[in-house]
Amino acid sequence: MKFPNENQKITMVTGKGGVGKSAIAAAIAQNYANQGLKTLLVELGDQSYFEHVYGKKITYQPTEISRNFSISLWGGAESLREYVRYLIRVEKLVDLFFNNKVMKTFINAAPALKELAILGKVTSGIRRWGPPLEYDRLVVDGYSTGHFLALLKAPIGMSELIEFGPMGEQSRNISQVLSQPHLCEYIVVSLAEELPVTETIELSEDLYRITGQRAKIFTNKIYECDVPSEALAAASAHPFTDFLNEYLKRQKEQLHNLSARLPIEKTMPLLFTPVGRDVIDRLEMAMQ
Amino acid sequence: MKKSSLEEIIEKHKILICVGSGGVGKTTLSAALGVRAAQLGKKVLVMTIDPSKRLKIALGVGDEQSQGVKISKQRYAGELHVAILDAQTIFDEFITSAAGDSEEAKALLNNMLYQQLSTTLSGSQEFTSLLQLSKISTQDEYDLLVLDTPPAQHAVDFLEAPGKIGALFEEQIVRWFVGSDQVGFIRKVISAGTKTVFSLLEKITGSRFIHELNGFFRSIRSIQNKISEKTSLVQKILLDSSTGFLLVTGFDEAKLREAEQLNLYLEDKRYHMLGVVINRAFPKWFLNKISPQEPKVAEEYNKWVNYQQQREGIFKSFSSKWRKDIPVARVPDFNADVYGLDGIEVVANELDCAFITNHTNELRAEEQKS
Repeated sequence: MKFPNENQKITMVTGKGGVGKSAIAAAIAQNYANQGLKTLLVELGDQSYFEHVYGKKITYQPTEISRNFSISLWGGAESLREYVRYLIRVEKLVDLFFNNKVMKTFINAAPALKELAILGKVTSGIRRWGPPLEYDRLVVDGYSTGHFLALLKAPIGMSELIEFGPMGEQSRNISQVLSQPHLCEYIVVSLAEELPVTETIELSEDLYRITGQRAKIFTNKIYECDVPSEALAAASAHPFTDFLNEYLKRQKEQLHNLSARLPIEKTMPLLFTPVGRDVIDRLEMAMQ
Repeated sequence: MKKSSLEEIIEKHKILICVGSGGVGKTTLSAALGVRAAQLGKKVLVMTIDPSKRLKIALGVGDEQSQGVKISKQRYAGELHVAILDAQTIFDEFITSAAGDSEEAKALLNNMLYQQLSTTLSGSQEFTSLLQLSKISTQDEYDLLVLDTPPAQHAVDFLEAPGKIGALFEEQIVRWFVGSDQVGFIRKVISAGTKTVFSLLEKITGSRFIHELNGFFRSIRSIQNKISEKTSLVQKILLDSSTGFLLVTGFDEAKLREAEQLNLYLEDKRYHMLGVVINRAFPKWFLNKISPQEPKVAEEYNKWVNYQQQREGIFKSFSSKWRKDIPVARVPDFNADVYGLDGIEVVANELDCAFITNHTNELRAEEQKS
């Protein structure tokens, strides 16, 4: 199936909580922008993380950070509202719909509708449905594992229930876009630690089951020690040396476990700074 | 004001709930709390909804042990039990027990919308862990229940869950949907506004959805009261003085920010916050403070120390705003994965130390200086 705008590409970034998804997503977005591609970095949910990093208010409408690089925060409620507005077209009716106590309660309790609306928004540029979303690249800082899988499953579950309505048809189109490798790619970020590695392997299998796609694995915070082994041997009595040796051993082991099951696309370094902006800029450099 | 030690926290409460954003180590810490309680002679049940395979192996439990199973090969003064909660099973069991073996129960369990929603309903994982908590707490079999909360996008989601679900089952709402089962339905007494909203909904989602929606709410009718009862009971348990919350967070900015929000929320709603646990707060060798002699290693050492100091700075900017009477336990990074029950015992020891350690005092002293 061909879509109206196949020049746009979506990159979805996910992984276990705490692995550094947001920083990697931002670095990927900055990288695209610096290549001259008009890029939108998308945060999902109700609270912005990037607001604190870039020092600008981030909302539903894109905030320009620099040439070719903007950021949006897409939450379920707003996405759903925009969707309904586009479908119904009469603002008064849209207000009536969303101000209705029952509708509000139902939407609040049943996330599938909101998740579907978010995916609808994410794929709206490619499908050319809804307000214009004219970007070359969309990089989505996705939810962590469990929540991300629930997001991806929403169209499948809902399309069974909503077979005939416009939402049903759209659910199917949305699923289509998400499963085409030339339109949408999935990046799973992992650390070289046991829990993330195990979760990464399971997540990749789940992603394959849902989208038919093989996720790309990025390992993050990988420590490169350039202290010569003679020096380490000389300092062997010190607890810090023990620490370094153990750390490197464990890291090597876990990377081996991961790469034995899945090819590692990119390795991102451990950066000795906790400052968000620095981290992202340096990750971007490491990607080039 | 003297801060509680972990032992005191365990002695004084019947329920401990670990809240915090995803990926901070809640599950491991919950297990460690359980171990500590068992060491102190308690019969304790650790309830978790999302343990890693490794933790399951460590504790020797399989899937779906919602009622709790005693961990084998333990040598504690008390008893350590673990329950791995499965949302679907708990929900289904709840429906069946609430509606009896009635046609309504069957209809509901078979309803497509129920099947879709019962696991994806906003807060259903949270709600079912609370359902199970209230069920087991009423049975009064254990000295202590430790609840590990599901990894959520926002830690607050856990506490909002009962309210969201409860709201859905309110009479007002249910009545609205239980109109008729015709496609272009008409209710007996219906406002023009409501009629419009319904036809809008139908326009968007289609007649099939409306039909399932109708069936769903009709089936719910019979168990509505039970659900209201349960959500009220759950709220009571959460607010009881024998129920305490431990906020688990990490050492990075994003997690600390989330923790801040959660902290405010807990205080605002008057839940009993017992302490904050910062997981992986510092590497163990950091306490040493003596640099290695070898120059190249010393250089690397300084790099790591500098990094840790920067993180401490960020931590201070958050923690200086916290209430002074709440203990802050900083658990070190072990630089090793936690294996087996032995591993969890190590974590339990560290957790114990972290609660009474001088680190919090050091921090306070530093704050007073600056």
